[in-house]
Amino acid sequence: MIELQNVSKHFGSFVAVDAISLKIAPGEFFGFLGPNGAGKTTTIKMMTGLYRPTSGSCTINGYDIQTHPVEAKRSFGYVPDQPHLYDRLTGREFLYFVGGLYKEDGRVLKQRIDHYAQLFEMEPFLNNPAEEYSQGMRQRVALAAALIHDPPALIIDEPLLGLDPRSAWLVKTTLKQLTKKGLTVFMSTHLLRAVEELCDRIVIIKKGRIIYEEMLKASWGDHGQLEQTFLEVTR
Amino acid sequence: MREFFLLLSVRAAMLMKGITDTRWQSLSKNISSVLIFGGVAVGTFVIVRMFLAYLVHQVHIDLYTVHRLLSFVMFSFFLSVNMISLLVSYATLYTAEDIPFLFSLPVPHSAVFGVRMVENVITSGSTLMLLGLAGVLAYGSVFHLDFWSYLFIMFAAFVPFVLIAGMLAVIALALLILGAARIGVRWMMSIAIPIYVVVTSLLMRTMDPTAVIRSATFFRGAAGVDAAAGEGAAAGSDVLYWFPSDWLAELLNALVRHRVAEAWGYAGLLFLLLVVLAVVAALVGRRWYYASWLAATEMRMHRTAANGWLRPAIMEFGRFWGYRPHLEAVVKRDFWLFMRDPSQRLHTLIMFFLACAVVASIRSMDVTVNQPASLVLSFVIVFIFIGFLVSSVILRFVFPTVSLEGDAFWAVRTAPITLSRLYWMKFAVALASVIVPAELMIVLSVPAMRGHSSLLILAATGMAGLVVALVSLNLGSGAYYATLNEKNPVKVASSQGASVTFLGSLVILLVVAGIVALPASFIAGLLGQRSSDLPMTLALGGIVLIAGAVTVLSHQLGLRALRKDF
Repeated sequence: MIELQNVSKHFGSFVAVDAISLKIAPGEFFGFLGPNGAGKTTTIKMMTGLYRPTSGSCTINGYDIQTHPVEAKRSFGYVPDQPHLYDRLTGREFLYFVGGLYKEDGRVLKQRIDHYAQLFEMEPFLNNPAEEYSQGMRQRVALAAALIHDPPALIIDEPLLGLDPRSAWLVKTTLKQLTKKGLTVFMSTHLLRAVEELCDRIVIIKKGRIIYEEMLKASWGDHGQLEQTFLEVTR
Repeated sequence: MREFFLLLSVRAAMLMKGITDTRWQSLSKNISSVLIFGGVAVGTFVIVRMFLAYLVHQVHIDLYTVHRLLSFVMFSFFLSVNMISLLVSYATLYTAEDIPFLFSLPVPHSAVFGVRMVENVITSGSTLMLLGLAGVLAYGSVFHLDFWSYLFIMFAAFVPFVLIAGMLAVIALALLILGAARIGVRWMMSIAIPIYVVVTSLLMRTMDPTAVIRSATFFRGAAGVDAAAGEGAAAGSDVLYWFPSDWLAELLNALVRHRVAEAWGYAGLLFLLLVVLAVVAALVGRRWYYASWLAATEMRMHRTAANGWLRPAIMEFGRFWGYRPHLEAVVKRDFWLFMRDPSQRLHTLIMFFLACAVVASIRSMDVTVNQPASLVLSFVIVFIFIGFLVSSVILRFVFPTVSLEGDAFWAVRTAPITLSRLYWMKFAVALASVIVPAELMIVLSVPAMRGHSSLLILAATGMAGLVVALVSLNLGSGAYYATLNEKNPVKVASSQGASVTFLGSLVILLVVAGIVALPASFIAGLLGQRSSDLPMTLALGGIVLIAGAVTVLSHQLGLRALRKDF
């Protein structure tokens, strides 16, 4: 579903991502971890077409994001770490706007917006301008926008950042349900508890390179084991 | 005072860091800016020199009339600087994101005000100074001035002249904001805008350039500056002497006639006015800056979404057009972002009133056609004037469109829409929005050139080519110089990149005006038979060529910039 082949990104002499290769199967919930400045967001930006890789390729649903950007972009939804919205559009208008870019049918779009408004409990604020939103409200609108075209894959960068406990629970529950229905999730986060709870597989990167990969969720054992592992391998 | 210099040194260090940044991207941007600035300066020099030399050596117009026309040009320049300063000052003094932080520090408000004023002069002023220097050099080379005269014009006349326009804007802005806080924004605007328009129109009427041309003395057979100067001395003056643009023109007039004491007198007037305005600005900064900043902040918090007639049902997001959903999404988004931004609405209103004032002024001019030179000059001046207004509109509204994609650009960049399609959508919408009012202004203005329908066709075609070229240039350049983290369109339209683009626009405007002048001269009978189609064909071909070249180059530049890492 998602494949990265020897992907590197250089900013001048600085190597942000160094020949990363990954393969994420359909329906998998993948956790992408690493300390600050490890290259997680840079990798995600290359996967979503926001950065051009210095070398290597990113393929989503069989389409290379650089050579077939339109087809590849139809196959995923994306939630950035800082989900900026248009301050002077309401959340509902933003969702209509994004749905329009994905050429969604008007009636279906309306139904999906209503569905996610209810699911993420956005009704009280969805008709207000986004400039009035808190970080958590923006996060929920961005997540709804990423799901509005019913994509087979979701790429999310720190999806639980700034969410209150109830909103975080809502997002986690929704993601769990969607992966059960076949959605592939690529999630970057610092919240190790959420990783333990949600992910099927994790990778830890440091200084742009993969330094740890764990295949089986069961092997993590009790809560807190992942934290210990993370601290050890990123030391 | 200590805080003022501390803040100033921090800002200067930031500015220097930007200039001396040796990273390739910054370096290439700085080099290209220098090259473009240099090219535009050379272009300005050449065009101003050609224009002045044409007036003096070809048309043999008297020296007095040349300076009356310069006075008119400088008046338009003054208004532009004034308007730009008003918009820039609002962005830097009232909406800049670091102002709340600075106000949270134990720093006098007047120090913040002072530092911002100096910054405004340095950032916006550098472009104007370059433009001024090129103009002064061109002027000096036509009238054979010595080295000291160049320095004198630049520093005793032009610099104070520009600063006066800027100071007036800052003072007016603070008073406008305080007034708006008292009586409401709408009331304040409904008082201030008509006053501005009426005063500007009256001044334009007073300085009617066609009246100046009609009363001009033409020296058939007499060539050279000295001859023109001798005759022109007898022409006398009935123009107002209380406006800085007049003082500047009179200063130049006195200087080329070697009346040094008189020139110093006008320089003294300019300096005196500058000192008075600087003192007033300092007082405003000390007493009213913080109060006006609070008022502006409060007004922004109470802004409301566009309503009533500004909410056309067809643009509502829930109502679908059933045709090209991505186009619909982008058009609707841009429409609402535009309509809900008070600065965009206000500037649209100002531009509309300015356009009406310009058209009304031109229509009220009495252009006599018995002098071909007079007709051609009037035609070219009208074309340049409308072109200048259109350039300002395009700079203000088209240049920032890519920047206004803003931090939310991730939503578009990760959506299945090609960037070239997005770019062409923006181009089509911008072109359609500008070309209609521009052509309308031509249609309403040029019939003032009585009896020559071919002039109307010429002006309409020339304006269409100009608009295509300028929209392309501003869109491409706006993408190249895009600052996605800047939410204020006014600030984007007054950035260094915008200044460079505007200078480029002016060069294109002057080149197109020069081209339309050729067939206009034949139509008016100044250069030959009116029946000849060749000049018209050549001119239209030239305009198509220029518009095409600018469009292709700008679009390549813009698209490449749009594809950069986000």
